[in-house]
Amino acid sequence: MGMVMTLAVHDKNALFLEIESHRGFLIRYATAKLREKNEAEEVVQEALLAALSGIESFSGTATLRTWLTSILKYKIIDFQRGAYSDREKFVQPPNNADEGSDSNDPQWFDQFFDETGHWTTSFGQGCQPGNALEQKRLFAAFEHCMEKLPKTTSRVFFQREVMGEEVAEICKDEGISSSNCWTMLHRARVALRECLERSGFCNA
Amino acid sequence: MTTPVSNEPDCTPSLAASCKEAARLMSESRDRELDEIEQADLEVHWSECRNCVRFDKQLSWLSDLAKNYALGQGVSK
Repeated sequence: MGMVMTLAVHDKNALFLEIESHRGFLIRYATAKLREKNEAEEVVQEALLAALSGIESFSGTATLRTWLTSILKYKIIDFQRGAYSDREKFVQPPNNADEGSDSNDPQWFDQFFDETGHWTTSFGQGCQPGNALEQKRLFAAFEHCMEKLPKTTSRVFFQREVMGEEVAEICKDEGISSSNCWTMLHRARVALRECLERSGFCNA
Repeated sequence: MTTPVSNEPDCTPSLAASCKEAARLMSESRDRELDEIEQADLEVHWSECRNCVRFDKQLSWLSDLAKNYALGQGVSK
């Protein structure tokens, strides 16, 4: 039995204090999502009450903070449904540029996620090549997959992951912002993982 | 940052960040420090999504591959 459940059984006051100790973080979290502190405090209060009344559903596999944050997220969604249901949904403008911008992904990157933001690709368990021949094949596949990336994206990835350069250094070399650099690195990693999986690597 | 092991049978995120957003955070955590809100979003997502737990492990694998490639090909700064 985890500490929290032990507290729940033996000392309700201690349990309350343990949960309450996360209030500050939860308010910061809700404020970041709702942009309004009064609303955030209200939603956090509801979440803490729900947590106290449903403590038996806390299994202890995640930390208490993560469990409380999950409850809070449901409360935030409920709140937003009520508060913003009449507002028009934001429609992202199309962007067909080769590299895309920080906020809009290019077409080639969109294939990895569906319209709800979930993966469209398969996931193996990950693997390591067992011998030198496989290692050679893996390096060849890695080169092939890097060549398929847009040029700047490929170069940024190479500098960062292969050469081990700092992001600031790469930004300076390429004349791009840090956030642009992070976005390119992210797109490269997603695309390379997918390409290597399709090449027979990374499969369970 | 350590990735927890998810017991979820598949990816069923109902409330947390989408896989797309979580993937971005997992990737960016390798290039910058996430703030506490981003970190919490990620941890909630991992607790619901086995695919993203795997994705994070594969990012580590990819990073190791790039380092090994650098060594194997004699690439250096």
